[in-house]
Amino acid sequence: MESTSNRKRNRGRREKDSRVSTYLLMFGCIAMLAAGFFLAAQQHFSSMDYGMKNSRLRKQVEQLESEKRRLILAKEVSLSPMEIKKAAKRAGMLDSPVLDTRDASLIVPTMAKATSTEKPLVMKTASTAPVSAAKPRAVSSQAKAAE
Amino acid sequence: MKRARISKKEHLKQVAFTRFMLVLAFFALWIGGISVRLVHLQVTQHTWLRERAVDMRQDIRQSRMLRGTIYDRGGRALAMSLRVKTLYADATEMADVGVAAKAISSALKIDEKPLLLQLQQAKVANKRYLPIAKKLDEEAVQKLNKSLDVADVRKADLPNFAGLHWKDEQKRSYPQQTLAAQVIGFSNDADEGVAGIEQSQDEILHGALIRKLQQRDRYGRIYDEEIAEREAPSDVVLTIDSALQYMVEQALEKGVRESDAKSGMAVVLSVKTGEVLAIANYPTFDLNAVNAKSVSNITNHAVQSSYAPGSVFKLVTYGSGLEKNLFNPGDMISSGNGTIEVADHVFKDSHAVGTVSYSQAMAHSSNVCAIKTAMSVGREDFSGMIQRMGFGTKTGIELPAETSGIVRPVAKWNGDSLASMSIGYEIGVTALQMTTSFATIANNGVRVQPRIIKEIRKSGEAAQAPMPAEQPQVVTPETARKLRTMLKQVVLTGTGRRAQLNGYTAAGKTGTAWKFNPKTKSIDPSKYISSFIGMAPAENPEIVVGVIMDEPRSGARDGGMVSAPVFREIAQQLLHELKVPTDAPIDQQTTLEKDIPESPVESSPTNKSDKKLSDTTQKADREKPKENQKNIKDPSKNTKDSKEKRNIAKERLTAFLPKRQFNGIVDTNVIET
Repeated sequence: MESTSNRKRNRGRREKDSRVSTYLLMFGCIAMLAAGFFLAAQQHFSSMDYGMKNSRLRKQVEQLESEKRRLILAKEVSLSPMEIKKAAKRAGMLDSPVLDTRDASLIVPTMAKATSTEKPLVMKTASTAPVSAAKPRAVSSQAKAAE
Repeated sequence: MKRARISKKEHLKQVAFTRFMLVLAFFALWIGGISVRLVHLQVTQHTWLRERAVDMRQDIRQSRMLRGTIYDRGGRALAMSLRVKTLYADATEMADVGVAAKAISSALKIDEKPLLLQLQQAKVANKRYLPIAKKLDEEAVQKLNKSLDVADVRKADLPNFAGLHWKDEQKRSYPQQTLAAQVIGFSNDADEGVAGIEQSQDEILHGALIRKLQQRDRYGRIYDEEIAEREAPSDVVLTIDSALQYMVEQALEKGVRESDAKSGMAVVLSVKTGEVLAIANYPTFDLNAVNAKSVSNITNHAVQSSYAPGSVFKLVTYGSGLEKNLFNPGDMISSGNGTIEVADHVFKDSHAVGTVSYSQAMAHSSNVCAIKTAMSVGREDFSGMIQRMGFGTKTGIELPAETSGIVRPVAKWNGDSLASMSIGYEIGVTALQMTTSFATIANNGVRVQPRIIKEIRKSGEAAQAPMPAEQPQVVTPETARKLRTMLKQVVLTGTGRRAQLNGYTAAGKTGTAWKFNPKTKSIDPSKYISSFIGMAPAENPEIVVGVIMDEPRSGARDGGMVSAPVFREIAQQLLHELKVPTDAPIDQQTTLEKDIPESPVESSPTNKSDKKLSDTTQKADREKPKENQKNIKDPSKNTKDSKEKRNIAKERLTAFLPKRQFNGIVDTNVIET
């Protein structure tokens, strides 16, 4: 009799043990799945974040290149003989009026316009700021503004 | 009791089972419904949904790469492109165009009514692109973004205003403004070159379209971007030096103003390389402000317009005489009383030079001597010389719309064509062709191929220089040397005295020609083309400068008075700038004891009734009696030895004096002085 009851108890314990292990296995799987999901989500959002930073940096490179071109152009304009003559005239280094090499009919009005208030051909226009990893919100708002 | 307890337990189990099955059935139905819906969406509406999803997430942007830059030989930018933006309206996105028009007109400070009308029309026509403000720089863009900001509107791009967007474009800038305007040319709004280097090198300079595939999140932020790789446009480096170009333009402008000429052009060539150091046209225009007024000045006359060169062409005439060994610079030649009749036309010298050396004949620009030389050389050889010198064919310079000039084949020449051509009529040349022919003489008879592109620069690659063209020997080095000696005499003692330089020797030739009037279809004696083409230093030339003035109207209008001083100013400055060692005493006073005037050839038909000189085309069309042509024989035929040739020519010229007739040429009044 004892042996039968013992056998039943052992079987019950084994069944209980196997159920626990099944639950543990299920829990482990679910935990792994959840962790996987979290990891994937993190990767996804991280890649998006990197993508956005990359895009902003690319835009910044474009802006800096544009700015470089503007500066080169500004340098060329300021070194052009006409501008040098105008500057010399403003500084009082030239007595004779600046002769414009344009069509003779355009000379008089051109000379009249050649004043210090004249808007230069090229001005600094681009505004760029370094990408800061510490301030992602500021960066994103700037990028958004740049869009 | 026990039985009742069992049945109650079983009943509860059954109830639980039923409830479980109900819940299961509910879930099954629910999932089944969802599955059916999913199948419906993914099978029947797949395409539409996919497009919608892609449309929400993806954005395709197209922009053009910045056009290549044009540099001068010193690396100074002559033409550059900058990024700019155009504000456009998508009327379909605007709920109230009236409000939009008010806000936009206020921000841009423009009239509201026409804008409102345009927006209304666009809304009706479902127009999605209506440009509002074109090619604004970054500063203006930022200002507009601030003024066109509506807090309620959430948009992926700026300005934060419903229906308004920015489009990336580019703007071409020319920092040197008027400098070498006709050479550089300009491009249109579509980034296509329409004149000058911008046009001829458009394929190289033109920026390719870049397609950007952008992935955006729900706020419109780009999180992924694919850019199609395209080859960047190349930069073009010209042989022009902006400093030299400026000097040439200033000197030309001064010359045009002083002589009150209609226009002027100047070409500077490097003898050794054929590089064009400067090409100037006056009047010119501002490349940054091309408008209706500047249209007339866009043409680069130095390569696009042909003209009758006049006495400058005697370089070819005297050159052919020397090349055939018919004459030497020291040989004596008689111009008689300064008139010669050829095929019913009398050609006259501006002043009779009598019997002078061949060199002096050229120095005094004797038409009679030039005609006699051409007659001695003969039609075929003279024509051959013209062709070898490059007339009648394009020089091949990398500029658009180059004309080959007008050179008729020998078969179409009239009785007096040889005579006319020997003094620079009945032929059309460009300033570049004429300057190149002088450069050929300066380069010891080796033809110079003018070029204006120094190299093409591709990003990440070594600069490519254009392939050098074949350089045939046009005349012998000996002929070239003799010609240079004769040209030097022109400057020292002849018609080109005003071209004398300080510290350098110079050689050149003046030219004064009447212009052809297309209305009257005859020569207009009141309109001149005055030119001077010269080289310096005379013995070992570094540069050749050609100056051509169109219709000088004040003072003496001949090439020696109008163009030679401009040559002097240009050559003097350029030689100093190029650090060419001096070959003559510095600070020598230019001796201009007496200017030798040069006038266009005076010619008249023998009946004296009509003083018209026909133009090239008119003569080409006109049928002349062929007797005159037959009468002009080629004196070089059947002669082998060059000495023999010279003797024959001398004999003929000597025989020509008493007889007063020579192969159809009648010297009307030969008087030995």
